Amino acid sequence: MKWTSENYEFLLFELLEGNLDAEKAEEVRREIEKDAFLQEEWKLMQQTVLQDEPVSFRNKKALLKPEGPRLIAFMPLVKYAAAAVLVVSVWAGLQFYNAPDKDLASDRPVEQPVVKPMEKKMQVPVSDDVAGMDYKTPEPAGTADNHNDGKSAKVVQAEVVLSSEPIKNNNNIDNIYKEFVRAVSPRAISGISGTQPVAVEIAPLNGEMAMAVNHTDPVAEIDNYNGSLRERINQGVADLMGPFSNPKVRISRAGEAESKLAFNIAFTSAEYTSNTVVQFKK
Amino acid sequence: MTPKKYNQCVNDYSDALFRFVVKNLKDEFEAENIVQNTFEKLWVRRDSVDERTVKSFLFKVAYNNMIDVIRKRKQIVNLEDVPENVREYSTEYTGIKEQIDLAVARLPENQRTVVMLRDYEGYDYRAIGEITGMTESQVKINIFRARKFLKSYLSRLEVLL
Repeated sequence: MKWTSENYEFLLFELLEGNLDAEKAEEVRREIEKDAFLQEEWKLMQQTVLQDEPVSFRNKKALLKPEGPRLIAFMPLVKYAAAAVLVVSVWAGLQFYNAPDKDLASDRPVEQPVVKPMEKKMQVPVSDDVAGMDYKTPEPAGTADNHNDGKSAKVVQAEVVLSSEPIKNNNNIDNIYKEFVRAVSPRAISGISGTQPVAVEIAPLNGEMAMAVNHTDPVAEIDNYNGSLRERINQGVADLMGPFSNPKVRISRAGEAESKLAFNIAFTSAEYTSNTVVQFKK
Repeated sequence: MTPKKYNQCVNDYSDALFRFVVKNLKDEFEAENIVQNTFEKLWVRRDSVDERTVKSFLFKVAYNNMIDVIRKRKQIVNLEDVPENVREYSTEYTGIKEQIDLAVARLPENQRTVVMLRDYEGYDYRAIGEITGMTESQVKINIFRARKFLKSYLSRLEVLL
């Protein structure tokens, strides 16, 4: 085997990687022993092997799945139970309909039905900080109420301290929302100066989730605002907004402590609304 | 794959997967997202993924996600938007391991990936090729170039010290 200034590194590499057969490996080792320069080079080559470094994934528990029997196994029983309830209901209804109505024979006056005012199904508890901003937000296709389609939206007041708890469970809408906050808000906030008053609005615009900042015309602001930041937010939204219809997010500064920045995040959608205080470690 | 076996995979591989991604991206937040997405994909496809190759499946999915993130970063070249949780590396000399970490961070992405899979996970060239989409010879040459760079980096350090 001929050693040259071009191939010696490759031979050391082959030895290190275990690519040489026993005979050639022994030959290379002998050459190394004879030459001080090669010894130094071999020592350095051995140091290029990355040493095992234990790293712990802190959100492991959130990834685990229940190991019990799957609920789906009971679904046929539910179906039969529902059919039974339906049959009984129809039978009971027919019995009631066919029964002689004694009350009709009397002269009792007909009572007027009590009509209750319809409850407002959705409240958007936006913080004062956010509500006080002079937003000229383009109105969505309708208000939160008529987005609702009869489903009652869930209203949540919560405080989330980021980077403390693992959140990843797409079976639960609360968790999806928390995950959204976790994924999107740092993207929104990381590009914004620490001193300026901040309010960010993320809302559908021309088929994509777009972001407006502060209190000027949102459309112009979207066009002018930092494109890369918007792209990151859009990515975060696209990843997590699947379950929500007409989602809108407003983020505003809620306070500042020595080690933390706090933001109000007001989220509205047809299915879910919330006002969350999120604290970020500085 | 039963939920029990899936959970076993989480326990066995999530740390290694996280290390692989976070060492490449140097962004813990993004790395956590990728690991979570990777295991979600495994859960969704648990009936079709071969249990014998589940580790390779996980690394392949994570690698592809990671490449997407790196490509996006390349498109978004804006120094003002550096994420908060990007790790800062000290430039002071602290030890050989730290210096290797510094040098690894300077490797091109394809070299860094293959050398990590080789040294941390003990994969052979063929398995690394399956994860990264490279041929075996491309894997080998990238590992060689990575080691050559690391060796040269260490040798310069020795001269300085």
